[in-house]
Amino acid sequence: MCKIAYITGVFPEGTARISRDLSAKGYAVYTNDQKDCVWRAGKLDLLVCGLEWDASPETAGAPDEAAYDALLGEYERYALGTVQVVHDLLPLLQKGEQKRIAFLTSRDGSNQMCRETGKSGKRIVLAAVHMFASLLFNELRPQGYTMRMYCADGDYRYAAEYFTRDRSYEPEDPKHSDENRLVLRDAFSCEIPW
Amino acid sequence: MKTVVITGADRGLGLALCREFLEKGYRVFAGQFMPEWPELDRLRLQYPDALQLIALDVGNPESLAKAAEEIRNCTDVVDILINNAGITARGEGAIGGEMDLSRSLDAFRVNCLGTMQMVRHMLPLMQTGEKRLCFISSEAGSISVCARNGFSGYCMSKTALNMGIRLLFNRLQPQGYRFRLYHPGWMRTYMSGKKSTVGKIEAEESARVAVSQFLEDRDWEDRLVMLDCYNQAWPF
Ligand SMILES: NC(=O)c1ccc[n+]([C@@H]2O[C@H](COP(=O)([O-])OP(=O)(O)OC[C@H]3O[C@@H](n4cnc5c(N)ncnc54)[C@H](OP(=O)(O)O)[C@@H]3O)[C@@H](O)[C@H]2O)c1
Repeated sequence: MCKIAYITGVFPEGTARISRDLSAKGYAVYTNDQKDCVWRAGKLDLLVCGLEWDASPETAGAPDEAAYDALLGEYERYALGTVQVVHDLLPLLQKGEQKRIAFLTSRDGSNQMCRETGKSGKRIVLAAVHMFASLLFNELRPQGYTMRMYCADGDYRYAAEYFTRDRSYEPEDPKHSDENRLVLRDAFSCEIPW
Repeated sequence: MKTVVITGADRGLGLALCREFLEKGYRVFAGQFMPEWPELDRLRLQYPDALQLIALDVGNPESLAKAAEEIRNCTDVVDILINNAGITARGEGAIGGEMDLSRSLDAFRVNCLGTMQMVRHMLPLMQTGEKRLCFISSEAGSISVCARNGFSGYCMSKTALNMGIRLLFNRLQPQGYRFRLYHPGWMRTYMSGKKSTVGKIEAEESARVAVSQFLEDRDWEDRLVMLDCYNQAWPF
């Protein structure tokens, strides 16, 4: 049986590009509202959780009451929504051979790189999801799962390659393993700090 | 007389911070979340002029607005704001098991959103004061050294808070605001609902260190650094 991938939460342009690239690598790819198809397939090898959405408009300067309401909604939908997606699909990932979860995110979620004041809601939500990914990695890596975090920021060209290629792993020498740590990378494979 | 506002002041670290500032001669506005808990009232008997109790639920926008108005009616200047109120996401469950994400949302509403809104409400009073914005965060929000596993809405909320503080820092530090980001250590407080018997430090000890950090003058105000109760620096 071929490998199954499911992509959700990525902008249409990225969904199309990553689907095409994964299909070329032999995956059967399902997207967004095709979750039922994944259930019918009975397993999932690669889950791609996108964290892309049009951020609510920023008020100039200090956020007002409406901006806080919007932020609460975004947190519920995108941060906790991501938790829910992983939770829902975990039983299928458990049955897959690859057991890989990839988050397609943005450098806007990096606290240490942030020198700006804009896109505040989006940055806050993304940072929280990065924490979720980190907690998840600590939980699932000992069970054989691997994870990827890709800051697309509009560049989807190398996402599928990054999601599918294994990284250095020598069980006898943990220092040589890039699978035993979780990192954010941009399209050029450069590490972005948390 | 300098003025400090402290949220989540009923017990734990918040109450200990109130005591410290009162002993130092500050005027303290203490955010009271649990009027049924007697300790703040007892403290008020000791400091009837300097301590003012303000009903405050930082997770409720109306309560925040009302509290801010009450403070505005009493003073023109707030020198120090200490955002201390915080909750765990107890009962949210575990990934792969039963989950109740409304608890995780509550943690975000109180720990991150409530803090950001409190800052917004207090800023007009802080323009002419000492401009000290203090935040009680946690190592639990630090992704760089994240050792927990599974799922934790509390950790996520503190990471969100740290990002919110970063954004405030970028906006307000150039205007002369001084930021203090504090991890109080593993305290024997009430976060689980009753006084914890495990933990490494009492709230009173942690509060002493916090106050010394909050009040010290730094010639490195253009750096946002999280320090803990041992004066160690934590990466985010
Ligand atoms: N304890 C630790 O080991 C530890 C470690 C790292 C960071 N921290 C942080 O330290 C801060 C103080 O916590 P603590 O340990 O002193 O906990 P605590 O003993 O529970 O004190 C926090 C106080 O805030 C109150 N509160 C809860 N929700 C509130 C709301 N919506 N608005 C206003 N007040 C509210 C609490 O009331 P209830 O008791 O009714 O909830 C309690 O009185 C928190 O931000 C916490 O995240 C604690």
